[in-house]
Amino acid sequence: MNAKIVTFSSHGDTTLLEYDPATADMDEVNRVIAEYEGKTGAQPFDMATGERIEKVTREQNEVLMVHPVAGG
Amino acid sequence: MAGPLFGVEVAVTLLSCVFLALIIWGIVFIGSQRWLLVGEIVSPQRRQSNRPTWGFLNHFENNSSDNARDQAQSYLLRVVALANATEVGDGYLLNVGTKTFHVRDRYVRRLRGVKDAKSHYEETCFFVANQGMPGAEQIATALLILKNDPTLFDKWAVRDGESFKADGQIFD
Repeated sequence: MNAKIVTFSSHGDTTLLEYDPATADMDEVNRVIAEYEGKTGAQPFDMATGERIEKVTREQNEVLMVHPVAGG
Repeated sequence: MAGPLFGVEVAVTLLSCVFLALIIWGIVFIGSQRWLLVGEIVSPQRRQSNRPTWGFLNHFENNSSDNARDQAQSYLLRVVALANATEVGDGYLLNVGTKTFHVRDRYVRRLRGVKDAKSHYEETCFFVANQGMPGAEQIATALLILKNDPTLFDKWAVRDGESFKADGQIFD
């Protein structure tokens, strides 16, 4: 089963990246995530536990990039 | 006598063939547009490049936005379960340590845990910088972030209009 990196967007959830966790280059996956965080401020959460994660590993099957929130 | 009649028959046959070809082309073309839209639902990133230009196909697009709402609601339900939140009336109750929050559309109220908090605020509004995100996904975002770091409530309340990443850092 493929793993995927998703995010919420104006048209529902959007898949940013889909890969085979058994064979994927996880450094490359994390590089893409870091690049996306740099642009949007979104950070990765493991959708199996609901916890924020620093780096994505092969154990995560679904990672949600959570966008910054402002208050007022 | 057979000459003119034969010519008419040939003309009618040719016209019938052209008409039939036009019907087949129409069916194939519209069918291909529908398949593009089905692909759009599966992979929303392709939405903009495959936008239908024919007005009578708009109902497919409406179905797609219904689909987005359904997806958003589905993610909210998953996040509610992950965060052990409880649905109440117009929002969700979230317990994090000694704190209890009531999260609803664009507002968070702190019901418990004000005494040991960094600010005395009981309620703050919140918004996600990502414009146009469905309400259900905004609530899911707030629930996930507060579950991981409840002190962000004080930052939202005090630092009006500033965006905070899930790790508490300001995002410019």
